[in-house]
Amino acid sequence: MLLKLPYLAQFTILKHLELHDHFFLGVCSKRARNLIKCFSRNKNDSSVINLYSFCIQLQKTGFLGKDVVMWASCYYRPENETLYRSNTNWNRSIIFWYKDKKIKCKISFHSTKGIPILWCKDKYKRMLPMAIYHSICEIFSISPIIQIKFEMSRLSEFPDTNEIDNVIIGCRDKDQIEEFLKNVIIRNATQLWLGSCQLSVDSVILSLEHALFWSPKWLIKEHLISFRGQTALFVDPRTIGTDDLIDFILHWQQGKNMKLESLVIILNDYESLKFDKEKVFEKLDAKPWNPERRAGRFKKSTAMRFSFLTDFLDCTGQMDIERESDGLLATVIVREKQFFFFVWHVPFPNTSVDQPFTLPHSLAGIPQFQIGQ
Amino acid sequence: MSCEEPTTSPTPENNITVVSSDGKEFLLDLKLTEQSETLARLISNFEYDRTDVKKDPVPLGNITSAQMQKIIEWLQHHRYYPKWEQNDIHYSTSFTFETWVEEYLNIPNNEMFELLNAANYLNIPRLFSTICRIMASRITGKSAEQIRTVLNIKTDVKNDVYTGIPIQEDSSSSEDGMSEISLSPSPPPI
Repeated sequence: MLLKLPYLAQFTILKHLELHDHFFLGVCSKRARNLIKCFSRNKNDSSVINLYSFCIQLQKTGFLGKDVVMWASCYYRPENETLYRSNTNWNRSIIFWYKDKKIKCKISFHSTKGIPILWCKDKYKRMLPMAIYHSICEIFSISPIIQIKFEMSRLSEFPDTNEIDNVIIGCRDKDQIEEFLKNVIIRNATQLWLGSCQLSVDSVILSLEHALFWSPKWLIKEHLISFRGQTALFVDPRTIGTDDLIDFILHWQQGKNMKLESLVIILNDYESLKFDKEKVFEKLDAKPWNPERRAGRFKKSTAMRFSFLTDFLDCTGQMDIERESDGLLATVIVREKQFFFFVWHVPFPNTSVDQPFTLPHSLAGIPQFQIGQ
Repeated sequence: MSCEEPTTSPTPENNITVVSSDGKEFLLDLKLTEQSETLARLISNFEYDRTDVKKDPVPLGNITSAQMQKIIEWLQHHRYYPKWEQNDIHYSTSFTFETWVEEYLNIPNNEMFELLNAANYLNIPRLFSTICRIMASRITGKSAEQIRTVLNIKTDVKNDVYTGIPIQEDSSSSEDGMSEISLSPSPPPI
């Protein structure tokens, strides 16, 4: 009946519904799915498997993810017990298919979030999130890039995939995460909380292609020098000073690192640690921006998103250093609380995409810039 | 929202006649037709609001007499309500309706959809929006199977959820095993 209504009526009804209602409607039939696809066009950019909340979320760039469905297995966990006991109707079910397996789920609804919880047998607890994830990507017509947010202590429930596009990991055990990183392929960005564990300079963690390290209390100069990926962002380190920046820059200038594209350090505003711009440039043979040698705007090569109070890729008027061995230019920006190091592998990149935009809901009402498409 | 209805009754000069698809004629007060953008525009175009203009019956080929009866009931109830504005629509997932509306729309789904089509055809925004909200309230919080039943959707998908993966039964999985879900190991007594 719904599918025979005029578009205006269909869309008006859909606007009153929640994402999980759209999801369930989308699995009813192909025609219903096409309706949801059409209705959802451009409303979300990506989906996230969140193992902190056991939710599959939909996300629009610049906004927090919205929960669509939860999953749970019959395996006993204290939080499962609460969810289990709050439901009295176990007559609703749904079937998913993943890797040739039929996963039958029972459905309950979360008492406060109102979203459905899909319960499966324990042996499918790693398959179910992937099955739901692919279904959501299909129904909401979004790119099936795999994004996962998880705490290493829940590794036994990690979704059944060894390829991930973007991942956010919380971990206090360095060995555990190193073992994990050896077994998965991360195609794009990794965000890591490593707590206060110590990291050796040959750790696989420093070989991540695009890495964002939150509160890296372990960070020392040797880690900057030994980073083997393309882009690194260190937020709130506690032991990095001006001399470490100088050593890192000189090491790059005298070395042969052809991979590094950008390295950024952001210090905590509430800590006393500061960078000394004058001291850095005293030690460098830096030259002002020459518009004939490089463009004014740096092009970031990753989809990792991070917010700044300024348009941080604008390098017009900044100071450059040159590596004698190959003539490669790098822009060095030093502020009290920020350090940017951008390497110009392509001196005049096409910056027509990935332009910054102002976040619609910024913290404390202050506009922030974020890179996105 | 509710309004006091004055006791004035319509006079023959301010009526028009509409004819349903099954040929039944309805006498409609011009005041009531203001709620229907379709009828209001028609009346304005043919100047039926003038007493000196001959008013031909208006055929409504898409609306049955039963639907017309129902619509007139709506129009009469909302006769003195303020004009509906586009920004009166609040997309919400909390569904509360006034008692009269709940009773008025306490009808089977198929009739509701026909009424929605009629409201769309006659462009009666308050009725249209109310039915959409009622329909949404009947869908929300339901499983796919329940939605299929409510909306009478016949599945055209081979798999319950399409993943593009060939179907192959898992011999070790028994549906009966999930018929009574229980946490394993069993949760301790609370």
